[in-house]
Amino acid sequence: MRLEKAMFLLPGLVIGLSLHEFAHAWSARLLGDNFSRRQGRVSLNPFRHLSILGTLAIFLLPIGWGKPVQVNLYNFRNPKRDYLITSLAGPLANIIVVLCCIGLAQITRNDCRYGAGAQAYLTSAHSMLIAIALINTVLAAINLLPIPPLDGSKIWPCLIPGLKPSFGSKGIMIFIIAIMLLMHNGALDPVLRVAFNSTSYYMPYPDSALCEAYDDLGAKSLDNGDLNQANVLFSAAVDHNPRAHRSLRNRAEVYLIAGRLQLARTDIEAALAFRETPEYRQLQQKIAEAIRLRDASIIRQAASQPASGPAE
Amino acid sequence: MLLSLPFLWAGRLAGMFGSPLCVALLKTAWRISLDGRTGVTALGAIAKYVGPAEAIGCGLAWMEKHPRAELAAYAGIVAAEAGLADIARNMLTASSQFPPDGMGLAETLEFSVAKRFEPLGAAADCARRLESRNDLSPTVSGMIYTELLWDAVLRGRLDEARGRAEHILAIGDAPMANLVLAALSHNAGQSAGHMAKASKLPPAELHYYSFLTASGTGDDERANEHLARLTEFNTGLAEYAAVQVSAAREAE
Repeated sequence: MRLEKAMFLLPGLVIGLSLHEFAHAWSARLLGDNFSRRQGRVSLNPFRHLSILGTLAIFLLPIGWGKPVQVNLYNFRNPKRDYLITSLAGPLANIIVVLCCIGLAQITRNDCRYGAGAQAYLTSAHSMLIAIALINTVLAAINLLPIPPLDGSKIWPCLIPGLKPSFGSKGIMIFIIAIMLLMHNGALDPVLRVAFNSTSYYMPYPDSALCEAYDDLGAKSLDNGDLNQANVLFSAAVDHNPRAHRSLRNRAEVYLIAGRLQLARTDIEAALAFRETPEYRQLQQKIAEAIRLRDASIIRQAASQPASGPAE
Repeated sequence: MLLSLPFLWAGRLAGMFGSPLCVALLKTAWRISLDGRTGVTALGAIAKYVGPAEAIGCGLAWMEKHPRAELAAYAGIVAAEAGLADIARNMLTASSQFPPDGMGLAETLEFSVAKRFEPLGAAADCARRLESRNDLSPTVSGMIYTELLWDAVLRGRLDEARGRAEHILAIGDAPMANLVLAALSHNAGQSAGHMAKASKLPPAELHYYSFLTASGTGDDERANEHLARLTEFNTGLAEYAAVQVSAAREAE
């Protein structure tokens, strides 16, 4: 895995794993078990929760893990119910992180509404929120699988009558290797795809990304000669990002072809105000020439017509 | 810490395959990390592959330079298992100077000392004292719940015994808790559905616990039967069981 990719995943994993383990420890404490507190796990400090091996794995594999929180079932009043709540708390924390990211993304999605300087920050923040949300989705989904030592293996015995909540540590390594293999050969992809798609469905796109997408589609329509469609798409791009000089330039071209020269001049001037390029200048000259020709034609037309006023 | 990991993993792997090489590797891991847990892993390997005396010696030497609650408690546990009462008690005092260790070893040592070196009944008192705490490790809780279960059975507090057995069974498979419930059901004239699960115990343990349960429920005939069978399997355990029961009766 490339270092940049790992660095991109790192914040999501650190936040996700820390909150996941904190949620287990905190819920256990609320339900009467203070063993996790004694181990220093009722804390939001990531260093209390990240395991060295799990953190190194972030750079080598597509996923990492934290130190599992040990729960003492003897301290629970109702072991089965309380263990269920404690086990669910981890994935639930990840789902809450996803919901928070979706909420914050409603602010960062309007990345083009503010100055150019703020846009860069907002776009980066939005990308980071998307990454954090998707990583936490993966963490929640994987942890719900009924394979030890994942939370799912603790949840299901609490729900199925007759099964005991505790699970021995025998053979845990075999299960861990099995999970790694399942992830590596793509057997878990269908589960992850469902989780990914659910989060992506609610995750808003940033205006800059929508603007780019509309601009690309508009360029295709323009190539196909569909001026109306191109105009609609470039206008949508400009609506999302009023400083999208490329879209303004493209719409100016559409107006030029359509003969709406004043609108074309307005757009190209707006584009030039944001970016001065020889290409834009060339189009501006073309539009100016077209306007000059049109004006000259109008003047000639007017001159060739007989005077309509009363003869002196 | 990071540098110690290859030695720790290699040491654990060597330990899994029963190679004494794990001792050197785990000692190196401890020297690099100076982490209490790694120290405990290393001491465990020394106790297993070299001997308890060497493990206690190492623990004491390491404690002088790098005092750790886990090291003191674990060295004490090794001493207790080796029957070295004074060292175990000293280590218990040493471990109590630190805040509670994250592994729950201090309480394991406290309970071991009470169980092995104090008069009969001290372990139950220690268990009762520890039971009020809710920050114990699952291992310690398991030990004290079992101790309190047998204490309740032997002293004839059958309702408490039933409650404790049911709580233990709500957590996991526990053949001895099934045995107690089977005996209590039998005593109350009900069918003993728990007996099948209880029979998973090895024969000596089955007769030992059956003897305790029968004695506690006042079924002397069955108690004598089980004691006779237990004597066939393990004479020492049979004698200990008889002393346990008579001590409980005297205490009453």
